[in-house]
Amino acid sequence: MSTEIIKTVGVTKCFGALVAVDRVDYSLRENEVAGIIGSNGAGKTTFFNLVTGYYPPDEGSIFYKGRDVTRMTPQQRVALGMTRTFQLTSTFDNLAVIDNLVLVYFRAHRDSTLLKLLLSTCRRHRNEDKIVATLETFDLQHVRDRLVKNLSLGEKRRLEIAMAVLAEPQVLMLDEPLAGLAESEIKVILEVLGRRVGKQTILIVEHKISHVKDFVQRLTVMHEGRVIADGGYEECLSDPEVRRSYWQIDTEQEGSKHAAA
Amino acid sequence: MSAQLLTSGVIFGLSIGSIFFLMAIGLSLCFGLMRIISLDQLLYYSVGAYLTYSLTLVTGNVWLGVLGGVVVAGIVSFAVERLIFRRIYERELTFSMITSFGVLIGGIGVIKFFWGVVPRPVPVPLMAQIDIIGTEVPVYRLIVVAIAFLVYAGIWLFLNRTITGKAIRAGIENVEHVEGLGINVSRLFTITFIIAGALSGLAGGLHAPLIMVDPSMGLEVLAFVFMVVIIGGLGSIKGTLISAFIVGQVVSLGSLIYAPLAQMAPFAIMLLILLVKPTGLYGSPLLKR
Ligand SMILES: Nc1ncnc2c1ncn2[C@@H]1O[C@H](COP(=O)(O)OP(=O)(O)OP(=O)(O)O)[C@@H](O)[C@H]1O
Ligand SMILES: [Mg+2]
Repeated sequence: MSTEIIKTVGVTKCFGALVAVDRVDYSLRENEVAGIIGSNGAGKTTFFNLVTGYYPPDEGSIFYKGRDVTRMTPQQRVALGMTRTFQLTSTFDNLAVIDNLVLVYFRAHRDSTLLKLLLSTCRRHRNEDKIVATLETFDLQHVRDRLVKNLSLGEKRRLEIAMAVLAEPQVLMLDEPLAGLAESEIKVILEVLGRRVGKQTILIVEHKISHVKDFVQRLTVMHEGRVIADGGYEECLSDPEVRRSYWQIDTEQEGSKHAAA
Repeated sequence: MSAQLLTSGVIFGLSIGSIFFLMAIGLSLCFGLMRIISLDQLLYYSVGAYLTYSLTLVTGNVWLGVLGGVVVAGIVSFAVERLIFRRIYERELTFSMITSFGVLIGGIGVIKFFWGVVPRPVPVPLMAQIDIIGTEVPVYRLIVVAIAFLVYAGIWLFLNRTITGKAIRAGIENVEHVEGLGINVSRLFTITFIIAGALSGLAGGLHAPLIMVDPSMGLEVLAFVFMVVIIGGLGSIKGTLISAFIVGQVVSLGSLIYAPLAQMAPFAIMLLILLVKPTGLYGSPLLKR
């Protein structure tokens, strides 16, 4: 058994009368590739926000590598090595692709003296091996100097994931990385993510179960704030409670996603 | 209007626009990044001017005085950021405005305590005149304009070439996301505030030889600097430069035509521009809280 990296015990988050996340116990082991699925409003994003610290939980505790991080700010958690991408894109529109990467890289390997910080030019960092390699891995060389606001959705999503990977987090948390993308772009992203499997703990939220079923080793199904199934793909889908809501998840969601896109 | 009057009016407008620009950058950056309205920039402007006055008396060199003014204004703004603004970033915009107004008024009191209320003269460091299309123009005013352009270039390089500058631009877009990267946002705030304060000090120091230095000199330019920021578009350096020169020309040429116009015309222009483009010339619609 590898070590447990994230663990939640009975985390609960209410928005007024709505219980968005309801006493969720969850754990993620090192280098595991896990998926969370669930219908609209199941509480997946809220659960992510609790783990990353953007909301404090109303009840329950969150542990990172055995350490209680329940009361820590997002920044403190990032400093411990956690990170994620946002459901809404977290790239910077008015900066070039390469500079978005430089900012992340710089954070991960920062020099802390004030003078060095003020005088370090982007150019010096633009050719760092890791940044060049990241551009290549995510197939972004050709848009290296383009402003993010001029990228296609697929390129932007790849950049977002590239930024998350470059930060070298202990856990790569991705909230719907495939949403709104064309099939061809989805293939590129899954292929790229596939290269991280075994080297990296990955937690991925996805609407369309069909896309991640070959990718994840373990699946968790959420419904109305609760975890209703947890285990292998087949195991989850044979669960009676999941069967009752599953068809909602895949069929209904495919429809609504296209409507939204 | 004679050509000579016009030329000297334009030069006067450029130099006063340069002063407005130097002060407005700080206000604009502080709003763009920290979402505060930093009226206390006008205090650093007076601090720059008074330091220039005193150091010129001691050393006999106005340029040394200006340099000292910049440094002290930077130090004072650093202290104010650490002691006061740090605690109120999370608050409402109006809160920062009232707090900074308090700092400004309190600071003016301190200035009165040290230097008294009598207006002080600062000598012009360069008496030379230069001939531009038949008009004698003071070289010092041209130097002020040149310094404003140098500062513009420096700020541009800083924001576009250094990592800290990129982080500030990213922060103007979305501070939470910058924080999410694990970048120390509070340090970015401090750096930005010091830059703003030092540039306000520079504005005061450069302006000192052209006016009389008095404790409430900041209040006299307050309205114009605000107009520059609003016309240019909050958070945009280029817009600030352009609008500073527009306001400078309007003030200068307006007063040639009819003196009361100088006070009024910039407001009219500001209202016109806001009617056509509510975000200002270069204001980004992204700048919403
Ligand atoms: N900040 C908030 N304030 C109030 N209610 C919220 C807030 N965030 C989420 N909710 C509600 O909590 C519930 C869970 O939302 P959440 O975004 O976590 O669902 P999700 O599983 O991520 O859904 P989706 O698949 O649409 O992304 C929803 O009913 C939502 O309306
Ligand atoms: Mg969601």
